[in-house]
Amino acid sequence: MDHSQNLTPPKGGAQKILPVGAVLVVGGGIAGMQAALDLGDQGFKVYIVEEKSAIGGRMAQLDKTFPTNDCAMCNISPKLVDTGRHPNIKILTNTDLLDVQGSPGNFTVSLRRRPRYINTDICVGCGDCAEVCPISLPDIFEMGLKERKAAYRLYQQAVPAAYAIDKLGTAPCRHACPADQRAQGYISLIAQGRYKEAFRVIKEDNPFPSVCGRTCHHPCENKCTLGMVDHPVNIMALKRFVMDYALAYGRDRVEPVARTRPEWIAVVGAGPAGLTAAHDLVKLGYGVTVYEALPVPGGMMRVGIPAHRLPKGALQQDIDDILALGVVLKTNSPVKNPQELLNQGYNAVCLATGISMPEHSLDLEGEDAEGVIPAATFLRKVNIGEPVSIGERVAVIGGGITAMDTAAVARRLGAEKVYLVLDRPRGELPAYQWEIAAVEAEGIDIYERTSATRILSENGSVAAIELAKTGKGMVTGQDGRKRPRLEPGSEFILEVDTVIGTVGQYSDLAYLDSHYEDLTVNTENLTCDIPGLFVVGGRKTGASYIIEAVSLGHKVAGSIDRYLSGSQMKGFERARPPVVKFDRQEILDRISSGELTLRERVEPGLLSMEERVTSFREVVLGLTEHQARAEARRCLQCGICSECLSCEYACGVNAIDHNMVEREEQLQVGSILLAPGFKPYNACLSEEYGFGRFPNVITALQFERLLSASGPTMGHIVRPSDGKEPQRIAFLQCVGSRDQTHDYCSSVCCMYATKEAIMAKEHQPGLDIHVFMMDMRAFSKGYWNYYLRARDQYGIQYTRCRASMLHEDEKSFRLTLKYLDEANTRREEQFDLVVLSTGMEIPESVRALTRRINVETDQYGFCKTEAFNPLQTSRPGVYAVGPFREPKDIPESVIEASGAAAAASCIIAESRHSLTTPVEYPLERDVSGEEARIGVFVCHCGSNIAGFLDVEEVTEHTRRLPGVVFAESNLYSCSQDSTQHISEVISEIGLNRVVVASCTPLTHQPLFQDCLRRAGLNPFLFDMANIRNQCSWVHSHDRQAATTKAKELVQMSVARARRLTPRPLVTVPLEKSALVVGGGPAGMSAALSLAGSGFPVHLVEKKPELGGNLNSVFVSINGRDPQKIRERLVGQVNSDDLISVHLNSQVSEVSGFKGNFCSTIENHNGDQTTISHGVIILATGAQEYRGPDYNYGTDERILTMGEFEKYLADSPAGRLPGSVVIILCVGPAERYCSRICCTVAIKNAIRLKELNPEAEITIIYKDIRTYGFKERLYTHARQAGVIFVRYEDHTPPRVSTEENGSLLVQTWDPVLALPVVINPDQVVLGMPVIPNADAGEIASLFKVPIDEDGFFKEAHVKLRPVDFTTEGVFMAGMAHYPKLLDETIIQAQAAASRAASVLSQRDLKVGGRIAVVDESLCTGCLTCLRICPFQVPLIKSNLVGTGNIIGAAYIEPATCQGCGTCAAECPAQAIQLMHYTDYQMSAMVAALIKPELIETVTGDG
Amino acid sequence: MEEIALQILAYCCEHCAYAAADLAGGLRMQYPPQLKIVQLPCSGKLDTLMALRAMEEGVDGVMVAG
Repeated sequence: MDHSQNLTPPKGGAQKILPVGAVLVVGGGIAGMQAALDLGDQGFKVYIVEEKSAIGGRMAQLDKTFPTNDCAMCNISPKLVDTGRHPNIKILTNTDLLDVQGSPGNFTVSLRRRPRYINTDICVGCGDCAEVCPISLPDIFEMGLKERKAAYRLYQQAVPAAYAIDKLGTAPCRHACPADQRAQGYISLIAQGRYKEAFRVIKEDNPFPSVCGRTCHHPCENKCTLGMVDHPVNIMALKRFVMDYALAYGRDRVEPVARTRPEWIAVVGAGPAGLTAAHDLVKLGYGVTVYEALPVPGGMMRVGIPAHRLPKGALQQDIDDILALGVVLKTNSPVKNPQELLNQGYNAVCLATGISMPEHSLDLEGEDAEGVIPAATFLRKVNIGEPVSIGERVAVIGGGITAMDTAAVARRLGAEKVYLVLDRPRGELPAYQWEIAAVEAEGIDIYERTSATRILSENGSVAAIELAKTGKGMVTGQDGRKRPRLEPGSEFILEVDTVIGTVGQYSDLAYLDSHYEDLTVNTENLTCDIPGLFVVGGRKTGASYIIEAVSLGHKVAGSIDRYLSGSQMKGFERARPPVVKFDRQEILDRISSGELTLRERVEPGLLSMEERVTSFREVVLGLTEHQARAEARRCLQCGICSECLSCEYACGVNAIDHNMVEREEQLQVGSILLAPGFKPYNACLSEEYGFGRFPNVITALQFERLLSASGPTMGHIVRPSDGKEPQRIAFLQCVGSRDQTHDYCSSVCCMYATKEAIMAKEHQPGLDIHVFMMDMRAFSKGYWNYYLRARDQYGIQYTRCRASMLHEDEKSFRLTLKYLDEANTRREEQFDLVVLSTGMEIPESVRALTRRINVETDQYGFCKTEAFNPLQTSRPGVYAVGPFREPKDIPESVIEASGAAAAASCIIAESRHSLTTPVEYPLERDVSGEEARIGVFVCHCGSNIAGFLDVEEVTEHTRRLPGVVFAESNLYSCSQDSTQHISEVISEIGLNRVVVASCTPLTHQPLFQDCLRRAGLNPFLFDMANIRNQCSWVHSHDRQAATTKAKELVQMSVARARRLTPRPLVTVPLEKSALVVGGGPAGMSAALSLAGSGFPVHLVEKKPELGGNLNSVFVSINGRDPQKIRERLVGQVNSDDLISVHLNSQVSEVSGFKGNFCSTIENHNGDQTTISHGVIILATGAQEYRGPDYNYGTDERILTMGEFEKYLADSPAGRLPGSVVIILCVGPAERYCSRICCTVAIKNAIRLKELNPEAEITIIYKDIRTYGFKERLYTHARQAGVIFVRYEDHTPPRVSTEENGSLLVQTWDPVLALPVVINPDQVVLGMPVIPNADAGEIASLFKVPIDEDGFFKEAHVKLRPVDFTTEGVFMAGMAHYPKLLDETIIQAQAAASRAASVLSQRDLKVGGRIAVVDESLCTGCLTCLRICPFQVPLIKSNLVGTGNIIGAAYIEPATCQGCGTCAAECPAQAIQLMHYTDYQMSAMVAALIKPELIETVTGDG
Repeated sequence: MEEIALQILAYCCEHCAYAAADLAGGLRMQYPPQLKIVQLPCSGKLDTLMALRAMEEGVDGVMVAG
């Protein structure tokens, strides 16, 4: 392979297209983060696409991790912070990958960015939004065991720390409302008793709530989702309740809005549209005058609606609120020529005359008689208070709402008889049924299917009316109007004093001067031919209902604002979120599952009939508070977020934007890495266990949350049914694994169940815990001992069986498990809590993703990968890691992540650093010799700090501390403008130390240190006082104590800050090449991967040929010929220019440290080569055990597994054995599980069966550990007739040679409870893998640790599985632990990736928080050498210690980890940990106890 | 009973105990305000003298968590 093009740019010729130096990582779980960090460190731009609102994945949900019982969050949280702050990593939350185009090196990916409604760049994560959010829903992160708000952060430590809002879209009620009234918003607040806020929400969209709470035609209720299965929520009554409540109990005064705009606008018409427009425009800062022709404002609301339906006071309340904003109202001011207004100087004029009720003719014979009144006139007179005389008998003609109102008003005016003449039956009228019923109840006589034919008069006054019955069908009269057909001969006469006719209302602009007749109105923006004139009303833009008029008012106001601001007048409509739609079935399902209970709709009370007909008092009474809250709780919260905007008002940094919409985005990347993770099997599908029906059956992930100190019960294990502590817990294994629908093993369940059982016992030692399992699959490093500890020390009972059914006692909710134990005895046990160990599945969303981007998967959705590159998917340039490939645990996912990072980077190695931009800072100012000038910034954190302690008092106190020259408080110290401000203050005031008193340094220190660097200060001149997480939040009940403590914490920080010194980082050059020790598959893969990334490699192999253990693997487990893989690897290594192969060689000497190692390679002739290199990968392999167990070595028919495999590969068909016994868990495998023996044994058994189908094969085992897809081999073997016989520790099989020379194997079958005796042709011992003989020597040569079994010990079993604690040294292959070939290759790639992360740095930065030896005090006692967990200190002979002794301790700055253990232990106190010196630390104590003693000092630590 | 104003210093490893105290804050768990937490890069950094000197200075108790 030629990598020259990687190192030098192409010269001349055709322009070469460089790959894109960016990688897309799908999934922000632990694997995704690890891959991103590796790639980011290697100089590539990384985009993490995460479907949730924060990264962290499943690991963040775990309480502890096995086998160390480390806190999962403590482990993952530094990675979260690193990922979040990495300059080369961009996290895209709420995002899905839609499409991938292009080829490796140059992909175009399309992303769907779903809105989170909170701007992550602005949000400071204070949580004030969640505090006020009225919507609660099951918390998915807590597996539904708790509720969270719609405004939420996925979990406490989430990255990004920004909150998000869960919103499905616009609720149907809001969508149905012409004015966009956010009904769900105020309903949710009413449900919580927050009426004042509900009032605010209503007013957001509607300045006429008192009116609409009474007279609205409420299309919202027609679209209410609840209406699909029940009566809709009584939205109108709820709105009125809020207005009544506000009126009764007081509300905030409406203050005039400040004028911010010079323009004046005239609005013609003081109806709902005009006043709404005026309201909006005044709020925007314009001057507004409203001209009204009538003596009173309100338009139809005032003159068209009678008081018993809309009390005048209610209307006036709404109007007063509008006028109070500063709207100027001129009544009795008709306008006929709007142009004049424009000429007067108004910048815009709005005609908002809307509808009117024309004083039309009834078109009846005799209608000229006195006493025939149009309804409009009648109602106007009554409503304005003009006298109107109607006599004792009144006929009202018409079937609309006006007719009902008119009849009711006539009744209230004292008419004894009121006749309502309806030409159609009730069901066909424009008026609602209940309205007709209401007037009927008031004693009004109704004539249905009746039409007036003429009016009879006496002396010019009405005397009677002639009516006739209408028949079916309509006739068209001469005037073209349609009328019902009359039944001939049905005429009859009613004696009346007054006839009131109602005809439909309509809009026109007839009141204007005649030259406006041809006005053309644009319905999109309500402009017309005359610039500056806007029209609401007339035939095109008139409204029929009040709420429509309100909507038009908003629309015209927006249009006028755009016009006056010079903005676009067309195409301004923004994209809107989708409308939430539910299926009726979905709602019914929620009802049947008990999630939703239907409650009866609350109807308001009505005025007594006696009072109704004798007064104009309002007929419909309001809801009581109790009724309103009950009704509000019926709301289904369709949109989840109700858009009440409480969060927007609570947010102190304006981070919330409810108008965000989904959008698509394209990115260019060079390669793609898929780490989408798994989902736990849906246990509801295993109905036999009753999950979802029996409250005390939970899943393991739920149990994990119960165990977690930050979980729903704060770590208390309780039964969901009654909250009591359980006494007996059962774990049922393999739920959704190894069954009829899952032919694979989920790999992790045995261990997590064991871990959860141990943790439960630690929480509650008296617990009785049983695990029901098929095999104990403790196959990885440390797992077997972990299991033994659970069983033997914690007393957890393991039973081998597959539980088939659970029964629940309906009273006690206890669960009964009936099972057959191993001795085939029927048993029955009761448990308080049953935990289902659910297996791993691929979520449907991930399957859909693989279909979209053409990546091949198996039938379960697991990703298929390539033979020679085990992380490569079917689509070149796209890699897959983690459980997405095959179920696996955290360390293996982390290894794969690094491995895939290496593979992904090989494609784009040429473009390293091409898309990353290093941050440039100004030169650091020299502060030495300056007196401390400390600036202190005290944070309110919204209400998080200021709500619980007196921030101003703390700030004031701070000013009195010595050295402090500046102190102030900030609302949010970490907001973008504040951090900018801090930098400015540092420069302006000349600060040389900074203290921020706010939250935790673990997340925020780097941010503030950045402020110092931007202002030219060394970042170490900074200290933080944690007055939120460790003060205001934890002493929230005692303001005084919290304030005092905050002062003390700031005192301590200031005292330390005064003594801080700059810690400049020193740049050390970096040797950009690698040493790989071991020429097996691990070493070769690592070398190839590094070379592929452009780094030269020295590959050292002690044997004369490459290949290592792969030379003796012949049989495949997955159809991939191992020898072909070996040949390919060897061929690639030998032909790679960047790899120097040293055969027959060993490393004899190593010196130096990360970035600058120097090693000597010695070959079998004693020739030495000295090389310089920056990193080391140890891939020294391991070997098959060859001990004397089971008489190995005494009979050539007793073979090791390796020998058997070779035998199978070499033997001609005729010499194959007819009968073989394979014994597993031999020798050292009793101490640790050698992981691969089961799989290899089964592989070879199948191979023998293939070669000789007649062969009888018996495998004698303890547990079959065919984890993941290896389970399929196990199943295949059983189907092929391989016999499996289990044995217990205390009854191991025995192998001997009988007198007749035949082999004898004896064992005890615990299932049959019988001895088994076999005379096989061969006995094969599944010998475990053990470390090489020289493993210890290699470890000491490279100064790396090994574990008790002799394998390399990783820096961290979960999160740094290929790193050594020794910096710059990495491991791969079986020297770490036994593993299969693909696992080895992946680990080697991972080691290469980790090594490349070091080699990709431009140089090494050394210093900062490191230990420094004062050699003049060093006695050379070696304490530091012994105590350092990282083996950093050395005794250097060229240094002189105390008393001039030769040799003193030296700590290499490049490798010191800064833990300070040596400083604490040094008996001579010759070591100080910089930045944590004794001087600095003791000053903090002094400042706490005796603050008055602090005197001015010059900082010099 | 008269309340005695104690001062307890808690030296906490930044990798675990300090982060745990942060989490306790996030969960609004209450504890006595007399406890003052000091961050250490590792609990191994705490030397005996540091603890004893704090007592000499007048601190009423020292806690190490890591």
